[in-house]
Amino acid sequence: MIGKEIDRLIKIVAKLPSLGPRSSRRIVLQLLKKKESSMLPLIEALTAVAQNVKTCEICGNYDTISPCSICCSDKKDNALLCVVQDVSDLWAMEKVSLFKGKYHVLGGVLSALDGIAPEDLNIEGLLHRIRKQEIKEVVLALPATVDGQITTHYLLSKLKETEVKVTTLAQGIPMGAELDYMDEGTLQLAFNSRKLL
Amino acid sequence: MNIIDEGYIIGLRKHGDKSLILTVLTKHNGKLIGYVKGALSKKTFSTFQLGNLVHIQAYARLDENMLSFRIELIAPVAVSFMSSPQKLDVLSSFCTLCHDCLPEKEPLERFFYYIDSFFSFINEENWFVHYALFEYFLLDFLGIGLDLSECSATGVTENLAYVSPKSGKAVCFSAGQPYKDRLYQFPHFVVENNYFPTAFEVADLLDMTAFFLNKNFFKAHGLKFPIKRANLREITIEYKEAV
Repeated sequence: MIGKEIDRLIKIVAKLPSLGPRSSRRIVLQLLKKKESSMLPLIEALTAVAQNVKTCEICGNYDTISPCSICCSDKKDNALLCVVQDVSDLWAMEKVSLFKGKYHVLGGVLSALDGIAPEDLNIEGLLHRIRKQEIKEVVLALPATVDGQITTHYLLSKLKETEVKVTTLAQGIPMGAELDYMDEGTLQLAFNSRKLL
Repeated sequence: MNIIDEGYIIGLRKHGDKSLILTVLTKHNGKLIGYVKGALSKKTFSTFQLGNLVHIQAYARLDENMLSFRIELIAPVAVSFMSSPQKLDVLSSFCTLCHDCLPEKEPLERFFYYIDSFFSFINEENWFVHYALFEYFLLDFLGIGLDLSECSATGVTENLAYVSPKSGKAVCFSAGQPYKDRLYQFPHFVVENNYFPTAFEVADLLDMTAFFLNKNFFKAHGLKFPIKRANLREITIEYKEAV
């Protein structure tokens, strides 16, 4: 017999991505067993995040300050802007530290089936940024799905009105992949975007 | 209930972390909606793109249960759409119309031919003609098809020049001339099986199909006309000019 409070906690944890009721029970049990070393620091961290983290008013990233540390950074190139679908994409790009510019989170992609229109995305904010700041290149790093490409082309048509250079990420064979293991879609895409050597 | 068929993916909805609720337009079983477990794994996620042709094995214990799918890629048709904004817009419109208009588990029979043509000819120069024909025959499939056989006013079968927005029937030149601003242009290329009409002829047909779909299906069912469908006239003309 599990107590009401514990049961509530298990149900809340089970709602998190990648977790089901079984893994949620294991996590809660672990937290209960290691109250001092796991549960209390977790509560502290969660409270701090809940109280202090906000959405950056410029790019849409999460940080304790707004504008966020990336937008405020002097090390980042102000003339380079990368447009991503979600904060998770921004974090993935930041992890590899390859991109030296700043970011803009759209908050989704256009989808006729799900009824996501341009007004539902942070497109106006992007255009405002391009008009106000001295941005020279916009990199559209959106998913290689039909909805992602529709959004890319929509943004491209909007950005034509500005004088900014627009680029997009390459599509094709990933690093270390062998051709005979590739799916037909990726192979065809790689052929379509082959380059002159 | 066991179904083995092939068809085009027209709808995707993420379910949980790695699974999908998939809508597939099949040849013999019509529109099927089902669950694909683990669809978004690294190995298989490229299969699940709008427009891809897939082999489908569907199973449900009872007829009223949601189907469970096993999917195998036949042709990565989606790639053909990726580089063209016009094609992507038309694909989006196609998927929305099929999603909203077609009934579930009802065989499409002859109508599937026009769906198949749209995807098969997507790399041809006149691909948008096949899309326009799909919409024209969609009206027919929904039971709200146009009657282009004779003039609704005089009964003649020659010199047909217009289509009445009221009745959806053809009108001959002499009878329609006084009201020509309120009538749609007669789609000669559809009747004559001409697959290379001008962009304006296709745009006129798209105007007409949009009107009848909206009036006789979407408004009649209290639905909103898809926004992605609304601007296809401009897209068709723009594409033709670009080519």
